[in-house]
This record gives sequence, structure tokens and C-alpha cells, in this order.
Amino acid sequence: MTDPGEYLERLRACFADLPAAARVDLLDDLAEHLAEVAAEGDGPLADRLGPPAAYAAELRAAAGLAPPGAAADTLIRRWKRRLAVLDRRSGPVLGYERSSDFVRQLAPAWWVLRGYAVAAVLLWAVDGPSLVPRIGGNAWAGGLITAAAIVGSVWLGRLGPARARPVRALAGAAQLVFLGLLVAVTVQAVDVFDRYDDAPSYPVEAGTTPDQPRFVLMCRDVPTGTNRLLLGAGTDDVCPDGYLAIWVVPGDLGQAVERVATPSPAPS
Amino acid sequence: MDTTQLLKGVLDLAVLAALQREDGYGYDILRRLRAAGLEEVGDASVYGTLRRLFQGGLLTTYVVPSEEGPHRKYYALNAAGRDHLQRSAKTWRGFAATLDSLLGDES
Repeated sequence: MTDPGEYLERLRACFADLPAAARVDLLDDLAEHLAEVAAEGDGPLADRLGPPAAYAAELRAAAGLAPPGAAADTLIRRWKRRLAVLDRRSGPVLGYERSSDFVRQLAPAWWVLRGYAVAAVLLWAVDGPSLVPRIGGNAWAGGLITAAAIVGSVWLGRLGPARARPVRALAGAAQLVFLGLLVAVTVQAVDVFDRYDDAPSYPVEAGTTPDQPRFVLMCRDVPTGTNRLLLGAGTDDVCPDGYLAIWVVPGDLGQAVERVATPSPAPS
Repeated sequence: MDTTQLLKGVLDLAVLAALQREDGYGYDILRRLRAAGLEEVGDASVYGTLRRLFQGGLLTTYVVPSEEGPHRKYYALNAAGRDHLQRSAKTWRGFAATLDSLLGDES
């Protein structure tokens, strides 16, 4: 690189971020200066002046120009400072030293809301908008999925930023798996409902158990009234002995829980 | 002690001082500084400082056509530059004297 013109071109590239006026002013003068330096000595300019990038950086520093990329940095930092000031000033209005102290206390409420929102959005995709998330018009199934989403969200929230970053990464992964499971369950449910929607409706009578698989919501222990969540396709015998299978009635999904089938006393 | 760090703080003063007796163009000023003993001063630093002092209204420039080689842009102190040089020199002398007395006999 013996040519001052080439060296100048490399410098020009280093000043590309400057306003046009400042750049022209700087380079106009610099061409003469470099020609001067080149005329007064032997050997490549880069050997005597250093690499163009280093020369440009030194020149910027001496000329009081910001280093490249500094403008964006200071803008972000300026906003962070402003936010911090706002945080401190608005704190006393809420009765706290900083507003963020107050907001931090609201975190658990946010976790619950977040879980509900995830379930609502997912089920909305399946079943249309509803304040009470439903699957196939069934508030029970929707409620169970919502509860699961809330538990997951709170669990994630309780891990908190105070824990190490790897844990956060793990939590993020768990969140993805959790969401994946939710989607899988939802898709399965929709699939089962669809199949039954297409099939001719058949009567469900107390004491009878259709042997086709259907969407069993839960198994209930009748004497104690405790329920076991099942949420999957199967026949009644997926429930343990003595438990009552509660399923979705094909063709009338909205009232699934109303119609409880009793286990067959003696399957034929 | 690393003189490049010290130089950063007083480069303005050094450049103004180099123009005190005689106007000069960029490379000329660099040579004066080096001849005076500031061998570590960088070409880009001197050039950048000249641009900043000019932008700051302490210097004026004029172009002198040259028969061999490029035209030369000369820098000269104006009234504001002389005033600034005077005040900076005073500050420097006071600072240097303070450090001298602080160093005392040990040096």
C-alpha cells in the first residue's frame, strides 16, 4: 500500500458513519496531508502510519469525534438512565422507594395471568375466542388445560432471575416442551372430537359402555368424589377398577360432564 | 512512565505551542513536535487535534501553492488561539510546579 490514494480510500471507509459535512471536511484536508507524508519518506504508508483502521480510530479520538457505533450505545444508555430516574421518582407515589419494587411484588399475579393467556390463546386457536378457555365448547377440559398452564407459568416464574442463567435456559426449554405438550394434547383432543363428530351419534345409556375409544376426561372415584385427570382417548377400562369414566359425549360435546356414564357392571 | 498517556492530556497545548512562533502545515507541525522531543506523538493524533482546534475556532487556515508536491494547508493561531494558549500554559506551569514540589528532592 504505497499509494496515498489507496490508503485514503481505506480511511474513507472508516468514516462512513460520519455526517457528510464532517466527512468531506476531514477527507479534503487529509488527502493533502497523506500526500505530504508520502512525499517525505520511503516505504508503504501503512508501515509508517500503521493500518488505516488504527489511524482512523486515533484521528477520530484526537478530533473529538465519537468512535463508530458509539452513538447507538449512548442512546440506549441514555434511555436506561432516564428509566432509572423515572423508577426512583415515581416510587414514593406508590409508597415504595422505587416503582420497580412495587412491580416486582405483582410478579406472581403476572405469572398467573401469563399462564391463563397462554392457555386462552392456544384454545382460542382451537375453539374461537372465549374468556373461559374451552375445548370443543367444554369448559371443563379448557379449565384443566388452563390450570396446567398457570401451574407451569408460576413454576417458571418462581425459578426467577436470581437463579443462575443455566436454570433460566432450562426453564425456557421446559416452557417449550410444556407448550409442545399442550399443543399435542389439544391436537389429539380436536382429532378425537372430529372423529366422533363425523361418526353417527349413538345413545349413551346408564350402565352401558360403548367399546369404541372416546375422549375420556377423567376417572372419578365415586365414593370419595375424587377425580383423576386423564384427558386422552381410550375406552372406559383406562380407568382403574371402581372408578367412573367421565367422557365427552359424541355429537354433544358441550355437555359432556352432565352425562356421566356408569361403568358397565358386566361388559359383555 | 508512559508518555503517550501524558501526551493525550496536553496535546492541544503542545500543538498550539508549536504554532506560537510560526505558522505551519500538518506534517511540519508533527516534525516540530518530534524535534522538540515528543517522539511518540502520532500523525493521526496531531492531524485530528489540528482539525478539532480549527473547528473550535482557535486556528485559521490558508493554502499555499507549492511547485513541487501538493498544495499545503497552513494553520495559524488566531486571537482566540493565542488567548487559549496563554491560559493553558499558565495552567500547565502551575500544575507542573505542583508536581515538581510534590516530587521534591527524591527525583
